[in-house]
Amino acid sequence: MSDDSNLILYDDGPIRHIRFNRPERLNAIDLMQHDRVISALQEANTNTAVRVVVFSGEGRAYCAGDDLKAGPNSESPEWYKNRHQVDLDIGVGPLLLQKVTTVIRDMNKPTVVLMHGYGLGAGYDYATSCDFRVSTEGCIFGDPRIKRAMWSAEGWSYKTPRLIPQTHITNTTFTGDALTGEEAYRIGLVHKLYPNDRDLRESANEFLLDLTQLDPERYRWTKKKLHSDRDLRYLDSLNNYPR
Amino acid sequence: MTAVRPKTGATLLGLNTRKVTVMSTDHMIKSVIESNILRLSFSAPHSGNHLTYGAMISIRDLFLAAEQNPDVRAIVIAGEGPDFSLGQSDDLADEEWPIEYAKNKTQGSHGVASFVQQDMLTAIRNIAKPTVAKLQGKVYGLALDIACVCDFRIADEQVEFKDDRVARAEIADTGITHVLPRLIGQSQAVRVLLLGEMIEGSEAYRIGLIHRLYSDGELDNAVSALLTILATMATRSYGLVKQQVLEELDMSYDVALMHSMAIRQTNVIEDRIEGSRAFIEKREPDYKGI
Repeated sequence: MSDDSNLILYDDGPIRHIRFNRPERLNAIDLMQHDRVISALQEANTNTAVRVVVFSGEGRAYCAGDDLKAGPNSESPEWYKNRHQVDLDIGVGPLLLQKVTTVIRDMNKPTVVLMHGYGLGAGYDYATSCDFRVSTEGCIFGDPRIKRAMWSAEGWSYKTPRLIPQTHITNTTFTGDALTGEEAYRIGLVHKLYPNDRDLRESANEFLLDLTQLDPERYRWTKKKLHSDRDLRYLDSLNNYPR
Repeated sequence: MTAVRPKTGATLLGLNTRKVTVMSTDHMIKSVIESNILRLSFSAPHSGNHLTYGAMISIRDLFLAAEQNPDVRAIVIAGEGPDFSLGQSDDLADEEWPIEYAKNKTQGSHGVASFVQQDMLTAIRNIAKPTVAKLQGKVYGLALDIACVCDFRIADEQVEFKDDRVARAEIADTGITHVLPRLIGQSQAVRVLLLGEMIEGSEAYRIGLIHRLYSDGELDNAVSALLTILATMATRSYGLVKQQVLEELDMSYDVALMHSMAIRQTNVIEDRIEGSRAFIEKREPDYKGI
């Protein structure tokens, strides 16, 4: 489907797979990859044949993080440069990552991430923006950026305390210590846990098929309401009818 | 920017090993800074480490001072004796109101206790540095509040948590009704806050009230190891991450993204240079906390 080999797009019936394909870099994500993902998601969102969108990675890992060799001056999408004339000393990376994670979060159909090997940095941001997280038992999962005296502005600090109890946030994100799939499952950050030695697309197949059976319109509406009600007062939430 | 650090050999090498006793304004609060760690302890074990007004004000002031002190890169609160603390003093009603509160704060029928408590807890919660509560024995009432506004709660197996304020026909107006449901989820928070149920070590770990649980005798070493890690981290990065999480709890998604980007652009962390260099050279970074 895609002529760009860095990101493989294919359909397995109603399941749309978005597969990172830079195995030699453990699927580290650079700015152009974010842009490819945004285009792929925008297409999938309006394609009624697609009932669930699934992220995964080719090779030894789902995603080892941001491509550190891609600095502030590295190649970035033309449309993005034109839109953001302000020359940030941090480059356009953070804004672009905010954009892509917001597009994932706002998808009107179920989104799932299948994580094996590593799910770090930008891969973690993608994962926490999906509706469902599926992992192998041994997958190394987390956000180690603070260990390099960096921090990230991509919305994890909003999302993760709402996904799991805040206690667990300090244990992981404040120290930058990675979790294994098993630990992430224990604290509720991962929904489904499968053995290491099997392709997650097979292990999770039944779960993915279940998701394709859900009514698209009810799913879209409930997800949107869940997201917006989270920050409303109770009485306001009763009157909240998302479009 | 932070205050200028003295360029002594010790500071240049990373951890400052000087031991400095910091003045506490209350006899039951001990405080000392050693290896960039502020160690604060309740030292009235004979009376269950009950907290008086004086103790609360002293804790507040030590945290406010630690925020400004570049030598402090991690903080631990502990209790001497078998119990962490039984909470606020039973005699608080009879205690004289602290002069600054008696003069300046509105005096409702409940007096000034909640203001003194809230100011202490806010100072602990808001400090942009790592905080650890080292917990053993009884952690009751106001002591539970203190533990809950620390970043890390590390306990030994004999620990027991209880908030019996409702059971005693009192109220908890300390902010714990905001803090606890976010820490452990509302389902579990009502057990603690409304029923006043006693939560023991392993159960506290299961529901996420504490981060780590150690068997007898292991707690000291475990807490020391954690503190060493925290005190050698890039302190300002830590502070920003903490600020992001705590402040964005009260924001909508869109506003939170803007907030993250704004604090990202207005802060320059010197340790970032060392962080990238260490990563490229494949070695452990040597952060200065600036």
